Amino acid sequence: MKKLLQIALGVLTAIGGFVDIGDFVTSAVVGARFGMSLAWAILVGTLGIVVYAEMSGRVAALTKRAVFDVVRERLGVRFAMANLFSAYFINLLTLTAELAGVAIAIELATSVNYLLWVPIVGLVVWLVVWKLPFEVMENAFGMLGLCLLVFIIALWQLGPDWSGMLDHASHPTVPQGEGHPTWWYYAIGLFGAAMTPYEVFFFSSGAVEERWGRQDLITNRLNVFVGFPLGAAISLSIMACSALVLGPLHVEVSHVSQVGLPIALALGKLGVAAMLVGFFAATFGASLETLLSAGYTFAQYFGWTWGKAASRPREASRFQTVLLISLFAAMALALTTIDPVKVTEYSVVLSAAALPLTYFPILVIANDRGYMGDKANGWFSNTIATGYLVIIVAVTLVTLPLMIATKAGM
Amino acid sequence: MRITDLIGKPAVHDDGTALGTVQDVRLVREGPYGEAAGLRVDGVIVGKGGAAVRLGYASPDLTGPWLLTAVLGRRARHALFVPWSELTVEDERLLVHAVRDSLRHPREVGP
Amino acid sequence: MADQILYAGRQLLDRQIATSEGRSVGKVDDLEIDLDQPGGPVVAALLTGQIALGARFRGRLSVWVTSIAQRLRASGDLEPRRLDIRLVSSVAATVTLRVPHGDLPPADLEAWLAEHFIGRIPGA
Repeated sequence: MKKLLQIALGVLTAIGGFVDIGDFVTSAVVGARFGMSLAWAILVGTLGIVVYAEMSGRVAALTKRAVFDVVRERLGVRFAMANLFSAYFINLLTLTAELAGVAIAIELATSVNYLLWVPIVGLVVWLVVWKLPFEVMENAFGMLGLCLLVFIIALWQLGPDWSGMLDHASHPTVPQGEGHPTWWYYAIGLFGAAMTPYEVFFFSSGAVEERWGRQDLITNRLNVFVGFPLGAAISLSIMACSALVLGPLHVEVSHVSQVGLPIALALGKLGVAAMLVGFFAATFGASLETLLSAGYTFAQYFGWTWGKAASRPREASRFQTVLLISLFAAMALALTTIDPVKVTEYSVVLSAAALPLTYFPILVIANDRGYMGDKANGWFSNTIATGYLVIIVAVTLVTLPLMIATKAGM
Repeated sequence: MRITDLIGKPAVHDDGTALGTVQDVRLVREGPYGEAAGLRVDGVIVGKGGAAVRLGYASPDLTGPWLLTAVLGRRARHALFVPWSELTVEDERLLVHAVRDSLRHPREVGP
Repeated sequence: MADQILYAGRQLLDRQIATSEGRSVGKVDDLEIDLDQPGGPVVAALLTGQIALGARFRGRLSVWVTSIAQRLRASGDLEPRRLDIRLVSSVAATVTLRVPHGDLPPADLEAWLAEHFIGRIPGA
């Protein structure tokens, strides 16, 4: 059991990072609109985050320092500060959407408008961060989020043409009536949903919190190789369910409730209940991740005490203050009735564009023998890691023009 | 004076030729930590590859990935060590007195 | 001989500083050079905190970073938080000090927030 719980960090990071409100809805939107033709984007993104998270976990275990901590020493104060502001801004947007997501999950269960739940959700999220030990948080939300595996069960129940689906996914073509730029825009969205920087901030900071050392390098790999593919499997089944059920009905997915339609069809009320529990846990987990990441980025740039390293919250007062301010800002933004689905679409695309800033220094440090000793990147991981560097730089260059050209995916 | 008053400043020779910018400052520790009255300033490293040096590509520790060492290693390679005795620190720049040809790569010059 | 050489920019600057107990103190935001030593200039202290960091920026950003800390200084003394080099016990990925947290001059913003804000929330 202990061994199982050791991968809780990876599972929570993946669930919160992968199947938060962003991916949840994006996977469904894409499935309904493009079938399985963009499944490859999830796979490419998953391998990317596996590589990225493994490197940052390894760096955290050997140097006891999290991602944003090392960004400043390698990029210089000015560049790193620009990095800090963009990372923080995107974090805040995502947090806003996740808080709304939790509130929406409760709305679906209680039929009480989600806006009324936002302040309560904010309060509970804060209480969890204030008092709950990191491991309890990890285990509880990570494991509950696994309820989303119900999508795989539902897919099985729906009895699709497996070979046809596999064929469609492995020979991606832009469907009739859709433009190439729009197709690529959504590919970037799915890629960005898989490879969000806050997942890595959270994962590496969690590794430091758990005091990973040299002996935990295998745990690091286990976490990464199990957690993220699990998240990918869930995303893919959401996409498939959506393609099977919502696609033929020409449903334009714009609300969370529509994502659950295939589940209702395949598994009835019990399935929907499981989905709601899973969705609640995933968005709650994502809220925790993005909120903490907002604090981590500031604290690690300036060198403040952060997280549970402070034996009492008052020993990390600057960090806690950033958390409170961020939470209030996000709640205020959510209460303006801004559409959380639209907000996540933007934040997911923006984080894809901002990836190189944080990926690059980690790649460099993972190669620094002065820090990593004999555990520096070998030629195989370097080849894949450099390949991804090229991919994410290409994504950065292409995102803004695409966003404008397609009017953000219209 | 602060170290950031040196790093990043342009370095020029007495006769006006530009030698690059100060990439780093070399210190020598005489005695164990805790007792040493200070880390002695040995001299400055002057060159042109600022970002490459900060990332670590001037150090033999950084051996990969291939793409980055090829591009950034080259930029970091052209560095000159200037002993402190050959410097005058001005407000906006450092004046180097030693003859350009006598300056060597930091790896070739001991403290 | 080789292991006694240290590169200030690459190995000291922008590193995390930790106490002997492992608690974070801040980053090495700058280094103080003493030019008056008989044997030549030496790095006499680590400088940390917003006042030290602010000096590395230009213009409005510089003012913005330093002003918060300066406003919290009761005495109007605008010197950055200074850690004597003799407090350092090792330099690796982190710069470790010989002393525990209580022996060091406090960080203004942290102390102020702990007393007036975070410290007042139940459970702090």
